[in-house]
Amino acid sequence: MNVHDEMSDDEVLRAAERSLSAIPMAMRPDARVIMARGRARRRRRLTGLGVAGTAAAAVAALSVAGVFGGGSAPVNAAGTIRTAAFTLVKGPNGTAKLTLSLDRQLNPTALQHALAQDGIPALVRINAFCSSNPEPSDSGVISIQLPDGNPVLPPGPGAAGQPVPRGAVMVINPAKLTAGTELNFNYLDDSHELHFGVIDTNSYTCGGG
Amino acid sequence: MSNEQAEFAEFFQASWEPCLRAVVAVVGSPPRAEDQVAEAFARAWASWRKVSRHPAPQAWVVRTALNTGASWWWRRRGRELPLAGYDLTAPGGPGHGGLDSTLLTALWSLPARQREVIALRIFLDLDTGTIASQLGIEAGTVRMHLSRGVAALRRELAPTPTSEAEQ
Repeated sequence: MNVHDEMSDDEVLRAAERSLSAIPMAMRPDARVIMARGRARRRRRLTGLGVAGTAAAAVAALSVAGVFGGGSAPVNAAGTIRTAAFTLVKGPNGTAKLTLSLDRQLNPTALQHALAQDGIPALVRINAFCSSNPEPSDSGVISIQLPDGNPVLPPGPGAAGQPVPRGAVMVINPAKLTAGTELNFNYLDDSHELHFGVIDTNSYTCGGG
Repeated sequence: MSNEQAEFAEFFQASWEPCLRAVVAVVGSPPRAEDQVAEAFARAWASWRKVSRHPAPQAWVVRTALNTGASWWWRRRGRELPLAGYDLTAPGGPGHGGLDSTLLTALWSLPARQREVIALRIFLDLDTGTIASQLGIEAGTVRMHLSRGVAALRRELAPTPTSEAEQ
């Protein structure tokens, strides 16, 4: 016999509660960030319903189908995924070329799903910045060119706060991604800015942007 | 800020932590739980007129967060390790701040339904009937899951027999 034989159900539950409550957690996000995310979700849902009702816009409806359950953007025979906000083209040696027009609201699920289809693990969030500490090195994963062809300085640690220029072309090589890490894109729906970085898949926090 | 926004903000501030800890109790990984709970609150705001009239809005958030966890991009990660990145290799028993690695490991070894029932009971303080309606199961089934879960945790809380007992 031991002392725990005497513990009541409530005492056991309290012990579990104490232990779970001792786990360190990230700070609560700002309610305004959550509400912005909810508004974006509502907009996408309404847009999707409106588009879905028009037979002529059926292809466009496919591009936002992810809103309703993780569907994918349309893929053509050449492996190109094209939406109003981005185009992803499969390149040689497992690379992929991501062009960001950002003319329209970016559907984070569609981008994340498109990247996954090309074997690029990524977390795409809206109105939130995610990071790991220590930050994984992202050198060599991505190269960026401006629309005029001029290169943007290769991103390094700490570049996650830098927005990707509109119209920029990102060449992503997932083979250079360190095991246990993934790309992270943070989209701000008010300004249509996309920020990127690399996070540790199992240890990261997200906060309001 | 409109009355509706203020009402949601108040609900969010009061409910974030209990909902988050309830989801951590079920899924294990705090980053994953934070992501799912944030998404659930965003959905709550997107449908606030409905959720605000829900009999247990915190339970709605937790349920939604757990359903969100079935989304494709979490499934692709395969088997996840609870509390990855945290040191659970230290000897069991309550440590700093009451974190008991043995107890947490035991909790995350329980069947999912038992973890859900325990999470809703300890963090949202829901009675058996409300838990049953939220999970779509019978009250008797809730009691069974709770009883079995608590019994399993109690066994893990029991220390290894001491040398005194052997003498």
